[in-house]
Amino acid sequence: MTGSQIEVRRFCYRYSHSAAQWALRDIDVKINAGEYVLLCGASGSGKSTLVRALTGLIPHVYDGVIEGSIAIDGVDTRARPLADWFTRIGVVFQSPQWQLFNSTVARELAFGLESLGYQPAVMWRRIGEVAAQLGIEHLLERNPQQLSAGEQLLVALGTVLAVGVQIIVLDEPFANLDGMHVVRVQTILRTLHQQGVTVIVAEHRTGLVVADATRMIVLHRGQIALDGPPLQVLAHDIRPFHLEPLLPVQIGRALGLDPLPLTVEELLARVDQQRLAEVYVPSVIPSRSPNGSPLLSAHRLSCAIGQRQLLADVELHVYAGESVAIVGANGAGKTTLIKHFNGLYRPQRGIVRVVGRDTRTTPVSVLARYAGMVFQSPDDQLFTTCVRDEVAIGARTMRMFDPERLAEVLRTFQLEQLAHRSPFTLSTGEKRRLTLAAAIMIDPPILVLDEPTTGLDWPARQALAKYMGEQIAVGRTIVVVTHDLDFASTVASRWLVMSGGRLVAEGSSVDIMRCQSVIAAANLMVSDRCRLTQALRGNDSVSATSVRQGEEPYASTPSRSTG
Amino acid sequence: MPALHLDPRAKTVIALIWTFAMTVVESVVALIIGLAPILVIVYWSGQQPAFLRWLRLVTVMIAGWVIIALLTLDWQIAVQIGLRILVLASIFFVFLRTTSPEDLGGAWQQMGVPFPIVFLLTASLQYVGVMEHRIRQIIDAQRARGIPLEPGWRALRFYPALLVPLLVQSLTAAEHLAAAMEVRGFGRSGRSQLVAYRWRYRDTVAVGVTLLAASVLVFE
Repeated sequence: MTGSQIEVRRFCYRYSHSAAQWALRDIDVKINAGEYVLLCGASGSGKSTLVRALTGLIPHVYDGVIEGSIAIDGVDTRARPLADWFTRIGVVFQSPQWQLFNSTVARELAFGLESLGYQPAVMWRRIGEVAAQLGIEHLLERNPQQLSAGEQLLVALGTVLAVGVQIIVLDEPFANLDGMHVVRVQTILRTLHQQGVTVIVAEHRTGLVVADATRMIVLHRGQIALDGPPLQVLAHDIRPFHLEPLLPVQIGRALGLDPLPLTVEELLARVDQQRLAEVYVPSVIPSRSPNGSPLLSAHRLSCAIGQRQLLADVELHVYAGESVAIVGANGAGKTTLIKHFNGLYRPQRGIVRVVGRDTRTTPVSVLARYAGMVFQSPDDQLFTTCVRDEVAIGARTMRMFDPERLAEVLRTFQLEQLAHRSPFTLSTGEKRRLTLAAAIMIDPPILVLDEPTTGLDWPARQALAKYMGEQIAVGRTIVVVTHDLDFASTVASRWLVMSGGRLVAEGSSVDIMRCQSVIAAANLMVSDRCRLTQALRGNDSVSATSVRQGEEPYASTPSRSTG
Repeated sequence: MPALHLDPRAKTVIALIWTFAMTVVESVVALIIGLAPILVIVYWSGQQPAFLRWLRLVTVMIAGWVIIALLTLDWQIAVQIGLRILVLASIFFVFLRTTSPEDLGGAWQQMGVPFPIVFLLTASLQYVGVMEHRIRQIIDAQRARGIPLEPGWRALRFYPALLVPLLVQSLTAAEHLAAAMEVRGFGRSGRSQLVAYRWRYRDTVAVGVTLLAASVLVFE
């Protein structure tokens, strides 16, 4: 025994399908019982691979070349079969829907207990305890595949807790969650940590975890770049590792605060508005006044499936050149609404008009020319052998193909270098860029994006915001559906707030953020940027913000520090 | 509804007996009598709308066989074939609608069928709904960019647009499922069951009555 709960010694790993590239190199780390570790890094930094290695999936499920070792409680993970580890260490994967395979939540929670040979009475008692702990008692008889992303994550967490693990590893748990579920999962993880459970969260959005974590490990290109208490790690510039610097930390640094504030609340408690305004300048997205007749409109739009009302009397108008964000929690009806914009769903009641065309009578193939749509999962549409063909296929099908336009689109979206690559080999950010390019290829006057930031790391998110900014600048009308309010405030001048299938509020981001009742009703999670903007310029039409140039340089160049 | 509260093993046996009987009986009257209890169960369990949707699906198949029989044999055999397919399809419908895959698998497991085989059945049935949802999402995503995947001949040319993403996602799902199973102790021996299935008196009675009725129909 070494005293550490997890001990990783000079661990290197290479996937069997990757001939030369090491996914992890020289990982040397000890994690003690009761730590709350934030494992962060950009896409491709090795987070998911390290999660697989820590939980024994490497080498028991994933083949590859291994050097070094990983021991849990002093026992090498290779020494015992994977089935022997699951009562010690549990994992919640990035996409919980693929982790759930039973017909009811109760059976899902029971699966691990059944593996351990428990009697039914014991299992039912344990299921009840875990369900109460997670607040999912009402879901026990539901089919896990029919739950929202947030509920699925709670169930996946429940499957791990049911067998009483002492180490929980979560891979990007917040990726698909709305505000309400983010707060709920944060609270649950905090409580588990207080109860002595070791919590390891792999997440690139550091702000969601850093305030609770006791330790922060930054991975970069398969190696540990920084390791230590969050305050110590955040004293370094984390941008070279493609991680978004926390706004309160940035401002704290610019103001010379010591220790650095990790949350907006902490910052606002220590700094008055005047000092804040010295270093923090909100930038403004001017809202456009309505010009002419709307390009896109819905009048008393309603939609129901069985007894479930998905949309109720939705009334909206989007004008040419506007950038509008439709925000709301999971299940609020956002995706159902936008599927009416190109005729995928026909109005059951009410009217939707796109560039003057009634969607009840216009074919989808015609509407697709006016409303280009980019759905949440790029994997739903990629099927050709190279990026170039993928961008061109829609235009070719509609007989609108123009080689010059293709070259221009590939250039605009920086896809020229990737033009002959298989779309399936691209990163998530590159795939998103590709699907955006494919939609722009037919030059639609309206561009609709469904949750475009899901799964994107900071550089990819910034690139997406930049491309969208360019499209707005050339006068394209943008409708973006998102529960990422930070992104919404960066790209949209007007917000439409949805809750329970209804449009409950409409206005600038600041107007919406000021209205607590709307935030509560729609389960919105207010981002740091929005809260700071509101604190500074509450009454103005302010959206995106930035820290003033000339702030103090970061403490050091990237190097590893161990706390 | 007593018919729906039977042990899954009893339901399996009853379905097999009735399927065998409806396969060997020759008279149209026997087939109609064989259909009657199925319709009663459908009505009793409130499955009429789903049953009508199911009928719409099998009508094409029934019509095809009836037309072939009319052209090659005679109208009596055509009616018999049509009715037989209808009854068999109805048995299949009632069995699937009143028995969850997990109940069926659980009962088999209790009978000594190895868990990996039971899991193969239940998990694959569980994923049918998931893949249906994925198919709808893929079709929507492709139609949204002008690729015609609406039902029709034109769509055939573009079927790779559906099949390639579906295949890729199926492989991903299989990989995730394998990992999820392993980290929850799938390979351990000494597995227990959350739900214990008990063969009751009423199961014996139900199987006995079915056997008797089937014997009467077959031998009379």
